[in-house]
Amino acid sequence: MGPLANQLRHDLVLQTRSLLYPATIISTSIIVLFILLLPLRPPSARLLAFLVFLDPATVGLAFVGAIVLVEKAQDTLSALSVTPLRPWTYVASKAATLTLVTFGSGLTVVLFGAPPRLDVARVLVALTLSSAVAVLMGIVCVAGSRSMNHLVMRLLWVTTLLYLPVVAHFDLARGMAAVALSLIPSRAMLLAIETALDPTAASSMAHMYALAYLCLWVVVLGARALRDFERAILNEGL
Amino acid sequence: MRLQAMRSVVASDARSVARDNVALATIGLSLAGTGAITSLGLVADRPAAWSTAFPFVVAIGLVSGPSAFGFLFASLMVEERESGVRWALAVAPLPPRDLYLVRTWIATSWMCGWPLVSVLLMNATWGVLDVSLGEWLVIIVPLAFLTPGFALLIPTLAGDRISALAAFKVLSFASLVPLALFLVPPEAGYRWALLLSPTGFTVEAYRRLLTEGGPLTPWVLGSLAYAASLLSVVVYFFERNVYSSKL
Repeated sequence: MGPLANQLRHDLVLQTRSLLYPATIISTSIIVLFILLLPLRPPSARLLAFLVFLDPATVGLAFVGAIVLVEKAQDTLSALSVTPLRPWTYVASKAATLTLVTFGSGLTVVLFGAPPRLDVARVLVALTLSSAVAVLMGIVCVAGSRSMNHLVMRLLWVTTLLYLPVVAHFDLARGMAAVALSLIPSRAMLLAIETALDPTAASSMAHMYALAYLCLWVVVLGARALRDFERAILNEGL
Repeated sequence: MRLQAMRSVVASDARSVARDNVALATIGLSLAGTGAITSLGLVADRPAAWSTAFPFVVAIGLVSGPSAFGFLFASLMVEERESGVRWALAVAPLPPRDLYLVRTWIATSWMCGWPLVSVLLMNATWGVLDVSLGEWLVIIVPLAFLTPGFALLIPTLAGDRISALAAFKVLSFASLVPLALFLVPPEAGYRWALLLSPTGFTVEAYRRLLTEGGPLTPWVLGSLAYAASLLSVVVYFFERNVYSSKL
């Protein structure tokens, strides 16, 4: 079995042992319940995109940090540092396993929302890119975090920043403010998910911007996450 | 000796929180959020939709507070368990009950004071909500009493940081669910199901206050009874599972 497969198995076991899966099932059920209670059926693609962004798309942001902290406390990282495991394998495994959680949760919300012009392939692409950005952002956040509260404080600021574009998503900010909010990657996440739920919701140009911008963030954050993993996470584990 | 031990715990918690700038960041973010919303209220020609959304935004802020601030103190206890400090505390000359009373008292006091200041400031510029100081208090205080229950429930359920975060997530979502009371028709038979959430009675009191002007007493008593019951059950399991004297 290759190192990536081993790491994937380790991550799945760790996530199963923690309450991650039951918690995601409960949070997804609560979002589904909210959709079922909405007087407007089916809900608009805009609202549904927000509900998918609210938790399923960004589930990895906080959890990857907690996972790294637990592995640090259990000296797993010290052990990993003397194995031939490459940093990208560690990061890719975390991103892949948490993206699976995103798929399960996101698709459930989407299916209950039942948007009439749903494009499942586009949804999967949007969820994959959103989840990758969230997980990589989480790894960057946890690098150098001294404790859970330290990590939570960092996440609090990042989450607040990520939620700002919701204002533009619901057309409550226009002009220069909307342009400025488009620089935050969550604007692209919301747009990519919305256009996947309803391809007529935005122009193909806007859809292309969303996907290209998310790819750019994946590359930038990926490089930073790998560097931080080697410098801060792995060295602190020793 | 006991008082000295309590002081030591408070000092240790303060150091732990100050080391990571937790308190500063939390207060800073709360101030920034309140400041931003208060400033938006000063915009003279703001869209009508903003004013319609304002009561809902206030409700989101109020119901998400207890789980967020409860989690701050819960994290300290989860880390103590993971790092083994919990075993040292088990032989300290301080009864476990005093230890978590001190911690939850701080969180509850904060949750009684800050949300009140925050909503009064925001509403001062928006002028949307016709709610008196006494009415704000009967909404905010029962919510604040959920904070100790949440702070103790997370370490009771969670053995490590991942499960603590998972438990926090579930509590946060469960606290937000009753906001659907604003959306579902008043005659819907399933409305009562939303009262199963810890914040259900308070959200219903707030909704009735805004839409019908009251009466609030049954809903406020319901929310206080819920918070007290939750705390009793959680304390029982917390003492048995987390801070029992058995090593």
